Amino acid sequence: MSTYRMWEVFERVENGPFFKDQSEWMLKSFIPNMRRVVKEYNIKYDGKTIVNCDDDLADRVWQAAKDFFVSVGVYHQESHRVIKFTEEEVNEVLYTKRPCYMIGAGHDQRWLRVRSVEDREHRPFHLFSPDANFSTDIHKKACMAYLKEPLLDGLCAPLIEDFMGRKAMSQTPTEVAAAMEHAMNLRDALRLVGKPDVWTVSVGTAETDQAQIAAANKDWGVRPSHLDGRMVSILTEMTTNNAMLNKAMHYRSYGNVFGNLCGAIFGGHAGGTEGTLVLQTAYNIEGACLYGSCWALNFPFHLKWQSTTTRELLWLQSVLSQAMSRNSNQIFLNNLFANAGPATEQLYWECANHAIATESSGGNPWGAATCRNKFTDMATPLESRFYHEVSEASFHMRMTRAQADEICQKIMEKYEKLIPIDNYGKKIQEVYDMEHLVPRKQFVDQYKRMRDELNRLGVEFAY
Amino acid sequence: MSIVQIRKFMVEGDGDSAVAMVNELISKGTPAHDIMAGLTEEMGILGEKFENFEVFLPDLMIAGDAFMQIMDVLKEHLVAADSKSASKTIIIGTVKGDFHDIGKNIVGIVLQANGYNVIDLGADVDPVAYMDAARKENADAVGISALMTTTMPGQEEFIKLVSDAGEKGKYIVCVGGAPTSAEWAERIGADLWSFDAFEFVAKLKKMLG
Repeated sequence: MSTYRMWEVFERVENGPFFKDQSEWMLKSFIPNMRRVVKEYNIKYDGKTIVNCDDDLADRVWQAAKDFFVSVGVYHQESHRVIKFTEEEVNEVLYTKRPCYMIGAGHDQRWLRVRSVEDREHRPFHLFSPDANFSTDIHKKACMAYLKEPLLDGLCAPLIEDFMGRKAMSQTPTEVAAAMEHAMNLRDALRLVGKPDVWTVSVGTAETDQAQIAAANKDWGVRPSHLDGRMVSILTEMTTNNAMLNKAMHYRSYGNVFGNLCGAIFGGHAGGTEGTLVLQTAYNIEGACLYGSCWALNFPFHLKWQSTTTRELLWLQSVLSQAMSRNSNQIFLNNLFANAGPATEQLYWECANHAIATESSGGNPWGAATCRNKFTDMATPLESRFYHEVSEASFHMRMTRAQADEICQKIMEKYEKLIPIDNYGKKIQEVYDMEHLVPRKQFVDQYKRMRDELNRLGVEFAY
Repeated sequence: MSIVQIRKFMVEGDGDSAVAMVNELISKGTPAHDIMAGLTEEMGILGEKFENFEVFLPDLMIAGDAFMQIMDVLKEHLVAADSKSASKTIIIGTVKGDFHDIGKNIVGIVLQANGYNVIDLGADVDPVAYMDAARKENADAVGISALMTTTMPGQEEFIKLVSDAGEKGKYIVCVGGAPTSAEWAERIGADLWSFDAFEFVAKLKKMLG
């Protein structure tokens, strides 16, 4: 919701169309409308392409997503009512959306902005994020290790696993305290690494609205001064609740440049690739209209594998990015969730494919999350370095979508058959010397080998 | 007019036409359990296709909705003892503090398709509510889903509650959800963990006999 419209939107929470439960709304509104727009706008996937080169398809997807959002609205779980927006309201929100923000401060100030398809002018925004739980005893050090990365423009720190020996649990004091510790560690790490003004997205440990509010503190926590990022989710699918609206309200009033965290599920309520693509695009519109979010983090993921690097999901993100870049002023990033874990060759291939498919389509890289996001301490800055270097390389060589598709097809051959296998790799403590915060030699050698292999496939690194 | 046609109506989500045909077949002497067997088989086929990504959740939901509509009519003609699994009651829900319910919903549909009596408590369910429901329904299993790392401890909280009440072993406690793993299930003392809904039902069938 645009801030000035917040209370008009909330009025719809109380008085919108009533459906006694979400399933009824799904069966009567969501599913039939999704089937209708996919057919009407002729959205089709050939099952092979990874990077889309069809501009008309991207534009049809955008129109289908707008139509779908206006037709279906957002289901509010507590009031059981649907919050609907008119086409005029949607157009107003989209037209007035700000296309760039100067975030961070001092030496670490950066532009977070909309990019274009095959952008020749604006390099991608490199948001480093393991999106994983880390043990509390290494959390601050892990933040420092990520902050040391040269390409880093912003950091979303790992989550804290425990507080005082208890697992951080939603809606309890352990969550509130862990969220505060997370924010404190991050601020300490920023100073200790000598990058005090880097833009951060905080705090992932805080699942609830109250824990998010507890972590907001200009002296030791989330900063309004640097326009720090926060996130508010769209719940599965096209759904929200009061906790999410509370977060949006707080972020707005606190002065955050906050994002809308949205992940349509491939194989879920939207159906196959085409429906999931339309839904994911609609999520970006929804975040802007409902929460007034300044950017979106897209992570359409696979129902079975919980990853974003399968063939159809890379294509989906490619079309999504083009639909957004060609038709809107909305800033967005693309979230990598890999199947494989640290120190595996498969993880490097997955990182490379996601980076190339999204950069050439106008996206911005956010990553790298590994091992289907299941395990503690299972992510390292090394694969994130590789992921962002490949994205930067794609921009540096001004890779076209056609070139990108050719390279992505070759890379896909390297890991597609491995996706069903549990290839979870190693913990950060094994890959990194946690005292000096550098990767161990054997893993640096592996990383270099993978760069060389990718180079042989046609990727020219910037350095 | 045939069971084949009813199966087709069910897959298309046309519950009204399916129910009309069921009533007609029964009035002409077709045994209810023959119809039930046909529908269960069709749901099984749909489930397999869903597992292979040949059909998707909306297809399953639409057919599942029609299936339940037909079952409302069929159940009065069916003797409960006819169906081995019909006597098994499974309580499902998403853990306290977690509003994500897609995984739990898929499990519910697949369980129903396999003839289980499913009590769905919804999302954001208090551990005490699971226990109350398990007692009230004399449940054979309780399935608790979590999609967030910070809500996973709710699964452990429930197991502790059951142990403290001296009810551990009275029913099977199952945990699942994207961030969970076999290691996590073992650590908290859950009886069953599975990668997805289909593995869950297969394992549960084995355990319930």
